[in-house]
Amino acid sequence: MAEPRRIPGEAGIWVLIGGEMLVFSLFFLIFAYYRSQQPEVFSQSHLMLDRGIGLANTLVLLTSSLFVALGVRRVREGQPGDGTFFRAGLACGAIFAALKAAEYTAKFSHGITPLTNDFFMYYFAFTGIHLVHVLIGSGGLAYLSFVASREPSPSRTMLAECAGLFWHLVDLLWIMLFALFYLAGGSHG
Amino acid sequence: MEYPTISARAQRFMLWWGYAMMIMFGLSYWLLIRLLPLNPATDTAAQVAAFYQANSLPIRIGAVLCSWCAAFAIPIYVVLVAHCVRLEKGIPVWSILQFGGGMMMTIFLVLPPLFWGVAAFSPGRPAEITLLMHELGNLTLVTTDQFFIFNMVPIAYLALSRRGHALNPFPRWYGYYVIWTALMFEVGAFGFLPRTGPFAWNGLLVYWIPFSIFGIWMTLTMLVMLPAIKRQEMAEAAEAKRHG
Repeated sequence: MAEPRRIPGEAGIWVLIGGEMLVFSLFFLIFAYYRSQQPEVFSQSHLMLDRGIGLANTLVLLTSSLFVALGVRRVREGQPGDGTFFRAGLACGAIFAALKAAEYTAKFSHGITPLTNDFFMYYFAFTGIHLVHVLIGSGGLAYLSFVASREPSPSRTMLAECAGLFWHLVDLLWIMLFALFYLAGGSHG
Repeated sequence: MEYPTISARAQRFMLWWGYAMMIMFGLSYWLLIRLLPLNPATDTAAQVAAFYQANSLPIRIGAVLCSWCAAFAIPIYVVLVAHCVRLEKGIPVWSILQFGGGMMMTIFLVLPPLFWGVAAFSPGRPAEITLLMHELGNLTLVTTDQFFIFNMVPIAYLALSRRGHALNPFPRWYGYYVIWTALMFEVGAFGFLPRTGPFAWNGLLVYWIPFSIFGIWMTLTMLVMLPAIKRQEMAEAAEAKRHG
């Protein structure tokens, strides 16, 4: 008999995820609006971003999502987890943050700040807010790496699914930011 | 350790007291101080001085009213902490953190009307000085995120970690909503950077969204706490009946 359909995590977490999606959608619309107002500035500015670091961060987060998904699957199947997958996801989060810090430092050392122009205002603000989400999600993964070693229980599964969902959200939002800033940051992008 | 509770009647009184003062604060800010929304951050010193010269009396009356009601959140946090402590054992650290954060947070709703009132107090002074008070008031309103986090994280933690606890007043969706609110409030600090656009002090992301979310949060808190107080009242009545 097929397992009855249910939403992952719990209903309440979707309030948070829905709210985040809404606000980041708003960010993207704002960015698109201002890009249409200043196509030349945005076009030139987005070429000053390091696509290599952006791509590396995208791959790092995609890999982390794979680890987290594997970890959550072990928990859902009631296997006695050891938290390895979550620790691997956490390590990816740390690499992401380190690369982001290196990127910000490089920009500042070249005199590029949030006040340089509107493109960099949105770049620093949106990616900075996203970085805060990465840190919060990393806290969730750190907690899960301990919880995973507990005896299987519905609450363990729910926790794993909720933290996993948040991490996938963080990953998804970064992919959107990567496309917006690094790949299509200008009218000629 | 079982913590004593505040009576249901006192809790309802405090909630309505807080909300009545919040409405008074909102109306004073909107209709008298007239900075809803805040003036553009691109206004010159002369434009800002002219605003305070033209509205000196209503702004000062608004400042008087806000002197009475701007700390409206205090009784609301007292009710919240009364419920939070019942979810903890021993020293109720999360409740203390929540209460301390909430108390400090109220200061930043008290200060802006005070600064605007000072700006309007001597409208004939050099324009740059009025501009300084105006900027201090506006930036105090939108960028002061220091204490929200210490109020909201404990509420979210208690809401989500005390699953199935009979005394937990918070639905789980409320816990997640509080997390989202805390995240959205953090954007306000960007008000220090640009003068135009969504991150300016009157912009969509720094002004409109945080204040809308704050209003929704306060409304949801009321809607969550009133039934919780009712449940407490019924439980106490049942307990009294059992003991004759």
